[in-house]
Amino acid sequence: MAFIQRLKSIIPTSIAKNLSGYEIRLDFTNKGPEGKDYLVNKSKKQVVIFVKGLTSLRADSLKKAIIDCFHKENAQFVEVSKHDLLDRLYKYNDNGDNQILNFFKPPILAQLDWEALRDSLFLRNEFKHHHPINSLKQDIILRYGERGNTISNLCTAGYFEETMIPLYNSDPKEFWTYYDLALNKGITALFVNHSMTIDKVGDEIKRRLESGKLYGLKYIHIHGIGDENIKKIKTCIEKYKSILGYTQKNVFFDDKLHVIVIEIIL
Amino acid sequence: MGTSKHKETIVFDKNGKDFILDIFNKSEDKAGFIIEKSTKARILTPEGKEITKDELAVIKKGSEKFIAGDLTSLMKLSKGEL
Repeated sequence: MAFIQRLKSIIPTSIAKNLSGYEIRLDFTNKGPEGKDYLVNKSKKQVVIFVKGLTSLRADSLKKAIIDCFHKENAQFVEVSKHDLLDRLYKYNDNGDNQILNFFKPPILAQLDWEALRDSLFLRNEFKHHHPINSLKQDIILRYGERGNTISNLCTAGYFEETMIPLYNSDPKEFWTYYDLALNKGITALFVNHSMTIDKVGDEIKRRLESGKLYGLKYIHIHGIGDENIKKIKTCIEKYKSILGYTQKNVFFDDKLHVIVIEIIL
Repeated sequence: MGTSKHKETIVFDKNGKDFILDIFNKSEDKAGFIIEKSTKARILTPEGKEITKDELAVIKKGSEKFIAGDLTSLMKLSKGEL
């Protein structure tokens, strides 16, 4: 029996029988309009139950319905702020992303690196669809640390499919050298964020230029997302060009996504 | 909801966490971690971590699974790994 049909004391059976497939939302914050215990929104296919205004008898019947539905119907209870995200995760099935994940599946990558990559591919997909990504990025950093942050940055910039898969296919040994440089030393790419000053960006470019030459890299990439970071990168590249003596070229610019990638040739 | 295997999803707002936890005979300790009412022992997520009331996002059957709302936990849930 569906959850809604277990709520006879709150929603009459004659109404509940027409609400099959509706989403049930338990509102513990507001009281129902005009003292109502529930509200049906046909356009959203949603039933809101206002728990705050329920009599203790009805609240008890709600508790019983929750426990019965949980044990007998395999129902899942989801906090509202995570509901849409979880829904998108259930639906997320990108062929390109799946190919990348299958390619790098453990034992090629360590389990935690692979999990960070999987989360990062989803984050990238969210970014492409203009969903907010800040909290997702924070989750990756909290769970996987700075290494997860680097994996996420490299993933968003397309390094896994554009650089690492071809490299692994041509020479696995060279791939691992590159992977360690990218992950452990973080010198193959610089991801400029809002907290970095122009001078900090300059210092980071200098460090990568010196290390890159030491390890035989041919180029490094500077990445920025957002108008502020793009402007910062352009200013910095011009400011330090004569001091550090490099040449550069724009390799990618997307004015809709507000993304820039500049290649600095060593 | 998508390709999930559970039959029904019931959505609640964060003010309902105490109500929901109470139904499952859980409460929180002084540090905010979810505990068994009877034993006062902190409950563990399917990944073996203690979980605070603030972190709680999903309750799912499989005895009782209390799952946090961070990206990795929800990703694993959506892939049937939790």
